Formats: sequence, structure tokens, C-alpha cells
Amino acid sequence: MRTDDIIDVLVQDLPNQPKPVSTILLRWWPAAATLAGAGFLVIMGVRPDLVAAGLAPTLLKLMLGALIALTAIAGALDLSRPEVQASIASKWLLAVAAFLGLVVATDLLRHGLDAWWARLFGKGIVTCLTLVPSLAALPLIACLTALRRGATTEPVAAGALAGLASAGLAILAYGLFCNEDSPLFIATWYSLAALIVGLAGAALGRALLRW
Amino acid sequence: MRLALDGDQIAYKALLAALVPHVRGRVRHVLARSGRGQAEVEDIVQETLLAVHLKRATWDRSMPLTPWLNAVTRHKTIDLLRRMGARGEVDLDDAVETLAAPDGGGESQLDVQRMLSALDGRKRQIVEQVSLAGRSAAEVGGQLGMSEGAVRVALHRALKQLGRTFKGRADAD
Repeated sequence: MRTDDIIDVLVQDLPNQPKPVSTILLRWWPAAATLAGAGFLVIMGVRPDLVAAGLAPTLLKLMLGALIALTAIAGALDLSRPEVQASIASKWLLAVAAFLGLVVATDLLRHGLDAWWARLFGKGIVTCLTLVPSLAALPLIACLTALRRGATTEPVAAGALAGLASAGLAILAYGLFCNEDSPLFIATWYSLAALIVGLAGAALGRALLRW
Repeated sequence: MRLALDGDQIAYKALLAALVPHVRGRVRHVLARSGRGQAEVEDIVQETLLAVHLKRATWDRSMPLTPWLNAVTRHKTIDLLRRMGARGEVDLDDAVETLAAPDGGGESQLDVQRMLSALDGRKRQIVEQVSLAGRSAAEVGGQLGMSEGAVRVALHRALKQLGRTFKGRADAD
């Protein structure tokens, strides 16, 4: 077949204009997260002592979730363009690392090293490491489905960013339920939960985001 | 490209035609650098054009086109190298044949043809009518007793299926 003939076919298909990845992604990904998060909070409930326990820890959780979600989804969208490299798309994640560092440093400065393990470990570890990934599953699927319209040349990194971003949205809902309030706990186990979803996203991205 | 993305078919055709020598040059370059023969250049050029078409929404209009195009070309070329690597051979006869052939003929090896035959009857008919006979979607519709819209939908599905076939071949090897 001649290359000119192929061009004729492509020209005839021009009226089928594909929608930009961002249009699809920013519609379905938050919708999927809202569905999962709202369902979770209806069944499991917001923690009863939300206000009584002081709003600061909850605010910290929401800030962490939003920061992870925003930086990672910006990276994933950037990576859906073929000429963008993973290192450049991931650079905003440094803001998350800096934020976590700040949280841990503040905690250690305020309370010192006394009984740090009591602040790090809590009853909620297993709950956190299972519920956050479960809550992230639906938005992750929506995110990857939208990213399949993209043309990433780094499917593993794009999948990982999709996973992190979805975990970020999951944390927004989980943070209203979780009653572990130590900053050390939040910085450690929330991050680990997000990394688990990131790894799952990387594996899925490798399979789903090739073109 | 901007005009083309707004639906100007004449501009789009001119653009794709203008991209071909550039893409062909890049493909040759990448193949030569990895010590491969040039037998499948035209196949990769055609796969790249299909990818350019199907993925054109991923080009950011505020950015220059060349880095985007080069990335797509490189991606498709490496895809093929991986396939050849898995096969672990370069078809010497093909290589000799292509080297001997005059440049710019733009005829692919049998691969694309074989792939077309994977389409079902109606889709293949439409692709062939548009490509080989150079008809428009409206003309093909009249000929096959379909509406222009239906022809367009079938054509678009055929192209997506071709894109998947390319990819599927890469996965399977």
C-alpha cells in the first residue's frame, strides 16, 4: 500500500475530531472519586468526633490528599503528551515531599523523640493501608481509561502518577473517617497507602497505556 | 496543523504529505543508529502517520509541532525495533530490495496489506475505496448505499482497529 493512499484515508477521517484527554479525564476522574468517596462515607460514616477532636489533624489530612491529587494529576496529564519525559512531569511531586518533610520536622520539634513510636504507630494502620487503596480503585480505573486516549511514551510513570493522584482523592474521603491524629502517623501511613496505589497504577499503566 | 485540526481537509492533506519526508528521515536515522536494515521504513512511516492522526489531540497547540512529531515517530520506530529484536533477525532480502529501490516511492512491505485483510468486509471495502480509488466518504456512501455519516463511523472504527492491530502485533511478539 502506498503512503499517499493512507493519507487519503486519514483525511477522510478528519471530521472525527478526538476530544483532548484533559476534557475526558477532568470529567470522569473526579466523578468516580466522588462516587467512591460518598458511598464510603455513607456506609462507614464521618468520624463522630470530627469537630470535638479539633479540626487541625483533619485539615492536615485534606491538605495532604489535595496536594498529592493535584500535583500527580497535573503530571499525568502532562505525560499524556508523547514528547514529555517522566522526570519533568513528576517534578511537582517534590512539593509533596517538601510538605511531608515539614510535617515530620514540625512534629519532632514540638514533641522531641520521646515516645515517637507511639505517635508513629496506631490501631489504624491496617485500615488505612486497605481502605485508601480500595477507595482509589474506582477513580484509578476512570483515570487510566481517560489516559488511554493520550499518547504517553512513559506508560509506567504515567500509570504511577494516575495511581498517586487517585490515592490523593481517596485520602480526601478517608481523612474524614480516620481518627488517627498524630502528624507522624498521617505523614507515614497515608504516604505509604498512596505509594501502594502508585505501584498498582504503574503496573496497570504498563499494560494499558501502550499505543 | 492548526487549520487541519479545525477540520480543513485540504490543509490536513497538505500537512500530512509535508510530514512524510521528515518522518521518513527520522525513521531512517533511528534504524541506522541501531544498526538495523531499512527494509521496514515505509511500514513505520505509515504506522506513524496513523498514530499522528489518531493521537492528534495530544499535540498542544501552543507548542511547536516538531518535538511532538519526533516523539511519535521515535515511539513507533522503537516499537518495531522491539518486535524485530524479539524476532532476532533482519530480513536481508527485504533490506537489499529496499536499498535497491528508488527513494520516495513510498510503497510499504506486505505488512500493512496483511493488516488491512484483518478488517471485516465492509470496513475493508471502505478503506480500499477511499485509499486506492481516492473517493470521498460521501461518494463511497453513495456507492455502497450507506449514509456519509455511516461511512465515516465505519472508517473511523477501521482506523482504530488498524492502530490496535499494530499495537497487538507488538504485544504478541
